[in-house]
Amino acid sequence: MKMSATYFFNRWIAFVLLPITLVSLPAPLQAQGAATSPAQEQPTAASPPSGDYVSRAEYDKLKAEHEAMKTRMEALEKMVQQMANGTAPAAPPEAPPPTEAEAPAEAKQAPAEAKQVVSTTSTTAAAPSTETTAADLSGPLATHDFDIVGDAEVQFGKISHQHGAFMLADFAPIFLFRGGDKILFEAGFDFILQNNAPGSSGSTTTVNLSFATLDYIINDYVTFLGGNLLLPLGTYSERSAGWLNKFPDAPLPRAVLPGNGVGVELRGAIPIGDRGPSVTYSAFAVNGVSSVDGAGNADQLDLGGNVGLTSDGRFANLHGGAGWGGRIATFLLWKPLYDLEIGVSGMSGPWDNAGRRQYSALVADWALHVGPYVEVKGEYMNTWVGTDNAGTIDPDGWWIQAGYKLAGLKLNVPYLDKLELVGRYDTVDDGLGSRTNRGTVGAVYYITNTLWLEGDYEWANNHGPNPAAPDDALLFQISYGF
Amino acid sequence: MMHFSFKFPMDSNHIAMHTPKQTSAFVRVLIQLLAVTTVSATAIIISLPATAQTPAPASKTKTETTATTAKAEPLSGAELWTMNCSRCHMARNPGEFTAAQWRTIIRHMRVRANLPAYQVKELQKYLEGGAGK
Repeated sequence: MKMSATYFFNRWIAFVLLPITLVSLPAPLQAQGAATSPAQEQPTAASPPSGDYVSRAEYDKLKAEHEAMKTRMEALEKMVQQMANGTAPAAPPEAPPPTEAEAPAEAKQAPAEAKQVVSTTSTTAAAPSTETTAADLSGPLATHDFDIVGDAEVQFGKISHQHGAFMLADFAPIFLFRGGDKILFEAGFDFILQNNAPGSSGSTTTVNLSFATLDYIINDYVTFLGGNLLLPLGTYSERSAGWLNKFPDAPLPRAVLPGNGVGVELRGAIPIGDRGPSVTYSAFAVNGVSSVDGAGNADQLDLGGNVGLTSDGRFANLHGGAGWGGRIATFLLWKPLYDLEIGVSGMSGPWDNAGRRQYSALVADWALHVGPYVEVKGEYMNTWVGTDNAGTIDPDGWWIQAGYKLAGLKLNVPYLDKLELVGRYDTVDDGLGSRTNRGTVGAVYYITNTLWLEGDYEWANNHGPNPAAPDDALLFQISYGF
Repeated sequence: MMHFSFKFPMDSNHIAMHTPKQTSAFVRVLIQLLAVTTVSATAIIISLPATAQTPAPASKTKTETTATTAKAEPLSGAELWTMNCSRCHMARNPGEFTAAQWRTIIRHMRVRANLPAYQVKELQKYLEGGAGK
């Protein structure tokens, strides 16, 4: 009986358990095989993910995350070692910068990869402040820093009925000083060379203080600025540097608006969600526009002369009331590089010495980007100027410009891919019976991302006694941003 | 940059047709209304506490949530770099400046371009991560 029981037990094992074991064995082997030799398991990669097994896509994702964590861990270990030794640590290896030539094209691919790095960073290191972000990665940075950025231009022009000439050599540095967590001082200059007055020899270098402000970040939503402000009437005055503007000259109707003002400003942005859209605002009070001779006659309007000091050093606000205004705008975004910005801005204040005549301006601005290759933007402005001798005049104008980067055609022709075709139409009415309409067509050739060649042909159509633009012109400009 | 300017001539005969005082008054009121609204909004906002300069520690729970729902993820530093810089100029390569320089330049751009604080923080991480030495 003993033999018989053992015999039946062994047969039960052989006939029942063994087949079950064999049937269930391939599954763990398959999973193990995927983990040990993924390159040899191509069919598995195409299989849909199930609740029990790791798909190829999931495996690759895990592997990538593992590699990123491993790399980061090594970098952190290295940094800790360097900090222990008291030496300056190296910058982290992640987020490798694209090369200059690749930057525009690579920009579309970069986000996904970098997103992973950034999210990994946020889970492992909680940043106590924005100022310590880099400290977490690469050691403490100096709390104060001084830098110079800016732009430089050389221009050649051929005006109709005149000799062609190199007509502009402009050097426009911006000095930036960052002090601690909240302060930035910024000052922009324009160094321009020009002939002396007719009849006298030589040339003169003029230096203009384009802007100079002390910026104090009050909180996430408000920054205070004080000094010589670029007035946020539309967007052009703040985005007109030579390597930002795709044309060698400014839109004509900007001449009806003041570009600067000495005073104070509050500005900031309020995000709408965390996917990019925001509402931005600016509110300012400045000395405002003034009169050349103090009177309120129409030809004496001075858009940029009331800076608070006269040439003999005396304090002088040329009229009693401040000019004040602001801009409110919204930035809408469908996805990165597909966005629309719309803004409305205005300004009002007295302009004659007696303070009886008012200058007011209203500006609408917009900018549309459709992918990395198409940009359309423009401004409409209307002003109302009360005068002693002419009632209320209303100089106005508008401009619109468009650009298309030929890289969007995917021709893969080296020189064409760096070319952007541009066009602009601008018109201005001085409110006194003179109107100028101007069309411009041209191209921008991007040698690098900050060095451009611009070539434009402009034709002007003037009406009235005081044209705002010269005759037709051919302009070339080299622009460099640094 | 080329600067254009023009003067208004004393041509009262012509100007007589351009005296829309009522329009001017309306626009002045409109501008003042805009300014008052902006200043009021500013006053409210100014009283809000700062978080960009001293943000709360990153929430692990939030990070896990964003990792699993890709649709709701905030824009990354690279996306913000692509999106914001190219609005006005070609994007600068992160390696063109050091981390300290980027920190200064980003603050300049925060003010100039009115960038939201949280975007500035992400941009700073991204650009300093790839900064030159």
